[in-house]
Amino acid sequence: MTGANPHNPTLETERLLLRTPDARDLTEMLRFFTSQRAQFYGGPLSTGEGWNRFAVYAGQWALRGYGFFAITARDTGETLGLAGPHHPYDFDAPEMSWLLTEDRREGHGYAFEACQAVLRHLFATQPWTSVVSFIDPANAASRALALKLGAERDTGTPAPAALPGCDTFRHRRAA
Amino acid sequence: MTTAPTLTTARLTLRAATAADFDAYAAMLGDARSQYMGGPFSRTAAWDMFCNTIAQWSLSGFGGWIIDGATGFVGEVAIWHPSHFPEPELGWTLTAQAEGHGYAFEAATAARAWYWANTDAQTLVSYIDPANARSIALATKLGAQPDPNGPWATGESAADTTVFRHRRPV
Repeated sequence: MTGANPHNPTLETERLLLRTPDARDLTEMLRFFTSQRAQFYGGPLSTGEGWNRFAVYAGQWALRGYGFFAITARDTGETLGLAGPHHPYDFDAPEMSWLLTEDRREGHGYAFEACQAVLRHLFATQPWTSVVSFIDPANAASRALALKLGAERDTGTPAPAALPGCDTFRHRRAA
Repeated sequence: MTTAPTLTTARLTLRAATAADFDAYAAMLGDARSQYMGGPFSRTAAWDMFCNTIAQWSLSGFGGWIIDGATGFVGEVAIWHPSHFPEPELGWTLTAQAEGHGYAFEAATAARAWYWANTDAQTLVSYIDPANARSIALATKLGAQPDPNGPWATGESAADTTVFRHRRPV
């Protein structure tokens, strides 16, 4: 299930191929960041800001050894979104995050299928026993997905200052 | 992921950035000398910029190099083309201690030569603050010339940016 190169892993699910983000994802990611869908990612952003944000996500792999996977459709190769552990400098620990780039990608279970594969991969390859997600109270779709993935509210861990008002959910490695 | 190829010059090595470079990189961008890049930058902001410089390679096929001198990190040189730039830009930044030795000239010359050899591009630009006399002197030494018709990046104007144009040698 996991590609051979630890710095360039690929994960496959029934419908999806997850790989490290690259130029093939740029058009879809700029569409996302400049749209209202980016509201929980600090957007909508300008094209330049969106490019920089995506570049930060793509570049994290070389520094942390983990990062966002591009979620792509196995049959068409289309970019559907991102899922993976985001870990900026001022976060104490990585945050499991996800997004779908367009409204029409929602409602097919793609984010669930991708996140489940990424979490399994992380708990199999990283020494982590749990990983957090910080989710805005208004982001009903993401809260529902976190719960469906088996995460639980963690009221003892505040969200980072950069994400004011977000609630913490914690995914745990299966016992 | 595509990463920077290693280039060597008389005194320098240009190579891909690694996590071990971050402290030196963040110190460089935390210095007041980064004012013409929009700095000084916090370590949090520098982290994002560091991720960004690495990602250029997989997004554009070219990007940033860490510059090593005889005793280690002396700065960064980069060719990058984010979506809000009309064309690729060659830029450089050195630590305070590394200035005055011609290292930026040597590194920028090597990065530019790599670019001419590995792309079909005929020109490159350097966007320089009109008040940044050192970088203007270096661009001129590199043979670049002010291009009054050169388009600016989104949101820029003549008040904050002079476009210097490098041309592929004939």
